[in-house]
Amino acid sequence: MAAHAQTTDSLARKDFRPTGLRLGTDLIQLGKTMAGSSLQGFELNADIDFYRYYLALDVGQWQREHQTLDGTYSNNGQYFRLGVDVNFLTKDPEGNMFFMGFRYGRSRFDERLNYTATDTVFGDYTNERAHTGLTRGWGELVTGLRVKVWKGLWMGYTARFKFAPGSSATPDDWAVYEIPGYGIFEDKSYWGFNYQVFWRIPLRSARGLHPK
Amino acid sequence: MTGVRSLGIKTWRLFWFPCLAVLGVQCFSYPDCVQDATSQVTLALKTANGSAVREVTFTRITVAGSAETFYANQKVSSLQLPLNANTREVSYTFEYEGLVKNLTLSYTTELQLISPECPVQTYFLDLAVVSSSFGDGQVLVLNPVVLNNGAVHVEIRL
Repeated sequence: MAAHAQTTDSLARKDFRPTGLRLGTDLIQLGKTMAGSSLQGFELNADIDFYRYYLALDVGQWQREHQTLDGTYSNNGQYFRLGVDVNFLTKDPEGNMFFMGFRYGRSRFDERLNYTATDTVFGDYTNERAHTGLTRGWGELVTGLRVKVWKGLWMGYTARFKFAPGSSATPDDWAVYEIPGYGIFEDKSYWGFNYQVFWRIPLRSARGLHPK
Repeated sequence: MTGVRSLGIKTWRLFWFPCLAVLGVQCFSYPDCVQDATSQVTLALKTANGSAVREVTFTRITVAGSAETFYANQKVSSLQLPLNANTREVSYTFEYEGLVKNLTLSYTTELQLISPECPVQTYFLDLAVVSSSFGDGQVLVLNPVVLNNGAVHVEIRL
């Protein structure tokens, strides 16, 4: 009874002081990199709690090379996403999360295109284009789970609905093809998926914040 | 009892999460090749006042930069002629009914990679008349964006 009163009191107080910092990485990205996929890179994820709200930050490195039908395309860049998640499992005794939130993503990247075009009238030709230091932003609606597996080990997934990937305009006549962290520009909305593993570093006791 | 239940939940979690990951990866989709770009400009032939379609028998049409000839000894009311992706202008010479006329068009291009499985698309935009020997106002750009959608881009009145 006393414990229940304390819990109710703690929730009513809405203690916004953070209780832990979670640091993690995306296993899908790592798996692709280790499997020798055309996409090489990594992504680091972090979040910190403020009552039921989590400030989330993702940073990543992305390098892609495609053999295209008539040449090669490559890009290389870094990106970050910053946003807030809202936990809807506020009464879970272990602090497991089902969350929804949003992110603002931004990428700085280079891309290069080489191709040989077939022209039966004027003759075949080879063309090369390169963009350096492009930056593009986008928005994301996210949802997912974070589940405590063992001690400080957490696992989770994040589904991302990405949208509004900035402008395709560039200093030359070649439109942006792919934005690291977002995906193919031509897809004005895009689904992304992360399967993540985290380690949680406690900052203070969470006792009383999660009802037993 | 609590320990067994706890172990059961963790085992379930370890199984469930990889399954979700596989499902997530399966959701990725790849774009289709959209072939709406074309290097063929469509020209419609009209009477001098533009009120009716005009059929013309061409001796031949040539394009600067190419040895190829087009519509040799053919009677047509519309033409499809090539644009050169490597330049910003293209000049045509029309030989018909004992006349020789010239037309130079300008344009800009935009490259687009739709997918690695598709060829790089060159879009021709901002089509404009640079010079013409058909006479003032006799060559009209109706559609400055050249797409493979059946539209007429240029009208020639003769």
